[in-house]
Amino acid sequence: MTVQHLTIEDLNTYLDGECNEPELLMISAHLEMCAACQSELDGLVLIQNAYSGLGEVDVPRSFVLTPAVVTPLASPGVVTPLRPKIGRWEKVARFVAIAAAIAFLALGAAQLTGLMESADNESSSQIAMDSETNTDVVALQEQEPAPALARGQVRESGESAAVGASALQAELARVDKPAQVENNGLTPLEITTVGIGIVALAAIAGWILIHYRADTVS
Amino acid sequence: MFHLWSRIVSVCQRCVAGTHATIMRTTYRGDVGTMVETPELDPNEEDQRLILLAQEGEMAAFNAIVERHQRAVYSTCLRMLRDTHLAEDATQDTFIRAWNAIDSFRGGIVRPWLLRIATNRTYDILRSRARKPAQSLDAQPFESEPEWATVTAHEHPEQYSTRGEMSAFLEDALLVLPEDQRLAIILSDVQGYGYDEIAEIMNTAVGTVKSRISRGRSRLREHLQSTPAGMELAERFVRLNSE
Repeated sequence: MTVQHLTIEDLNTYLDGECNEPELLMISAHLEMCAACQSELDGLVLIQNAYSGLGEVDVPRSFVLTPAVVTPLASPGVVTPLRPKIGRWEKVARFVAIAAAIAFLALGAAQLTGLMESADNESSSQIAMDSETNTDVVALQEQEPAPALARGQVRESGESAAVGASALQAELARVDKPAQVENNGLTPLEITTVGIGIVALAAIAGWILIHYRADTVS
Repeated sequence: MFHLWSRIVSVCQRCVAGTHATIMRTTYRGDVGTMVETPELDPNEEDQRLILLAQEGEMAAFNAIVERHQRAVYSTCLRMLRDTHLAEDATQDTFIRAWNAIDSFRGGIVRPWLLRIATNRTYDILRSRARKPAQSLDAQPFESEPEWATVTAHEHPEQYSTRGEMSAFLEDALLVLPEDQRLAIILSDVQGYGYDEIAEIMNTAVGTVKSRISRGRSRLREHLQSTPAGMELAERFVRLNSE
């Protein structure tokens, strides 16, 4: 039959006189019959007695307050903060850094998703384009006179072929232009992402500087 | 009938020295022009009286509180920080903060309130020091010299030396404990506080205090047992104190 020993917390509670009456009776009864728990308790008693003998340390000087020691502006009821000004700016810098970093990551993720989607579209449409290029050009040549007619421009039947060719060139130029802008310049989303990235880096650098300074002060 | 009362608080020197439990009070009655000495009060009642005066802006009354509790506050700070300069700063900060927040004190026992401010300050310093570990190398280490231990008057030089050596050993052993357990052991075994008061000082639940004290004592015992003659030194120290 195994003996259920007292826990270390039971023994400490008993030693410190912090247990209630039923616990006290139970622990006392157990200690009378269990040498192992009694030995455990003796060790704890030794530790407690040794440390209670250390006592208080003498002060190297008096800590009484004088008007010079207390801040001139301080008055009863006003608790002087640990880092009066730096702490506030540190909080602001930290908040800006975190917010900017989150925005930067979100926009970066959006950019990446957009790039991946456009890459998928381009690869799938490229296959279709290769097979349908000739028919598209023919279709565009056939459809091109229609907008001009819709705007009410009356043309001679003999001039229709020449007009169709120039309209086709203009349409092709119009379709190619945005693609050139996207390839050579930056979109507003990219500019925003880069801007927020710079703000995030600046705020993190500021936070580190302020934090280091606050530690030095305190 | 108007009485012009002005109170002059004089601190009992025996009380400051720690050999007297109460404080003497001398009250000046302006209307009759005489000093009236009132009966000695219970230490807690005296603290309450001084707190009320301090809340009216009397720094002299607050300084009487400082003199009564500075040893307890400084000892706790020193044992937590292990650096005399930092402990002095923490103690001074504690009393400045207590003075600045005196209006927020809503009664009760003063010393746990002061120790709570002191422990918060020591945790701040420990956190700050943990971020800059190189700084601790320059700090003046805590050295448990004999004069820091409780020394009985007219003690034999050999006993004095032994007591100093053993108290230094026990102080060093506290270093093996994590900060929370160390503070719980200091408040419980060195300062003699009950679980409720420790919970109030440490701003935690009584169950947590119980657990910290249990784990702290077990760890200390393991450490002493692992050190050659550690338990024997502790036993000798206890015997020396009981003589």
